[in-house]
Amino acid sequence: MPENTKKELNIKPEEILEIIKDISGQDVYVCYQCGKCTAGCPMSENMDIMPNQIIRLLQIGAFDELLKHNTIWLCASCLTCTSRCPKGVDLARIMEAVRLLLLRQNVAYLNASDIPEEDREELPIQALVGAMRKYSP
Amino acid sequence: MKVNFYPGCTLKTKASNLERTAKASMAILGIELEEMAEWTCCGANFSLANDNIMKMAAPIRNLARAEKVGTELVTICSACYNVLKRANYAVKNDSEKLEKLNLFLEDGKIQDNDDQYHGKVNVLHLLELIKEKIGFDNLKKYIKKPLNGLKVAPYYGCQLIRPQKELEIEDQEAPEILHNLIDALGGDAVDYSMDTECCGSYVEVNRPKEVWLASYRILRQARAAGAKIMITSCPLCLYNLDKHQFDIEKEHSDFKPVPILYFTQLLGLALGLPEEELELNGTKVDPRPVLKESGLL
Ligand code: SF4
Ligand code: SF4
Repeated sequence: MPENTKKELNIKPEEILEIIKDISGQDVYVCYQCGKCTAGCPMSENMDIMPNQIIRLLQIGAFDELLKHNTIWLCASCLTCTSRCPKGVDLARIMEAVRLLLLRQNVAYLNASDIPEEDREELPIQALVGAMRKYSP
Repeated sequence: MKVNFYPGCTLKTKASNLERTAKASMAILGIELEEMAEWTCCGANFSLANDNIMKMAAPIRNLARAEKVGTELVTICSACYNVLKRANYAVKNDSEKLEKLNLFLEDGKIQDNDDQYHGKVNVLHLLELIKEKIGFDNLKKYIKKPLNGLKVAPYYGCQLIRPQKELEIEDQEAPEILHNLIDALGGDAVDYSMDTECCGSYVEVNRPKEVWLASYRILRQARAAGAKIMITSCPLCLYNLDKHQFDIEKEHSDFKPVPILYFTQLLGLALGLPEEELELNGTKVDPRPVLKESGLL
């Protein structure tokens, strides 16, 4: 987790779930923690906590704990979890909502200027546009 | 026959060989991909935020422009397909969203003749166009150079097939359209369980090492299933899967690189396009030795 996302959020803890629900349209309490999302997640090997644990931390109101981990920034929005959840939870939208909750506080996870020039030359535009949409306000 | 075509940014830059090989192959099949007169980037990623529809303005503006030409819009890049089709699904099933976006289009006109969108356009992937307008059986008639049973791994990735409910192109757990194409070209489509596994997508921009591992798992499995070559329709999948293979090889001595092509290059090859037109020099892992070995070059 980069330094800049550790700064204090101007959101009251009791409001966090409401905001997540507004952005994602998802109710985190629907999840019964079966772990199927994590089992199919292509990025889970490198996540320091698992996708289903993100939901668990939201359920118990441990948002500060959630922010200590890299999981939301390694999520590739591949929709594998979403397409397989037996309870119909759209976890990719919850991941997006947590990212946006931070980004909308004007906290960038990655700025265009952080990308090395040679990478900017080499990467397909779709990667650069996609990354800016996911990682910057 | 002419079809209205949305190329998207990446096909105009890094993946220009995808566009050129698609156009040349389709010309042989009697279909002209006619580029839209005016278009903008689609946004590259469909926004997953429910409370803000502004990120749909770009795809809907493009669909409004396409609607003036006809009811079909063909695209090739998996990401463009995903964004255009999902935005289209969203407004077709929610008139309030459509109305809001139309108000915005009216307010934020880029072109004087930019108009409202009425939800009449059907977004098609080039693979669907081939399947529906030509048919895979019929395609065999055009083949000049059958692939001699070349073992090809079809790689679908995410954007082309998920979410199934909105894209409706294929079964998201067991897609077949690339398999069917390979078989029609005289190749042997390899079955492996990672054909719909994500390559890591835009995470590459920030955490390339994590993306390698995803690529490694996919490539290793395709190899183990006997694949000599892999095909995809997504420029970012091609980039991610190709880019780190020599690094992977250094770390894993048992790994053998797998060349990756756009499906249009393999199609063009089988349709008899000359080698220079196939532009086989765009990737780090050179596909030409494998194709030569198989008597295809
Ligand atoms: S698959 Fe669905 S129900 Fe199971 S842990 Fe994941 S989000 Fe919860
Ligand atoms: S959308 Fe994110 S959390 Fe879900 S499977 Fe893909 S990478 Fe994992």
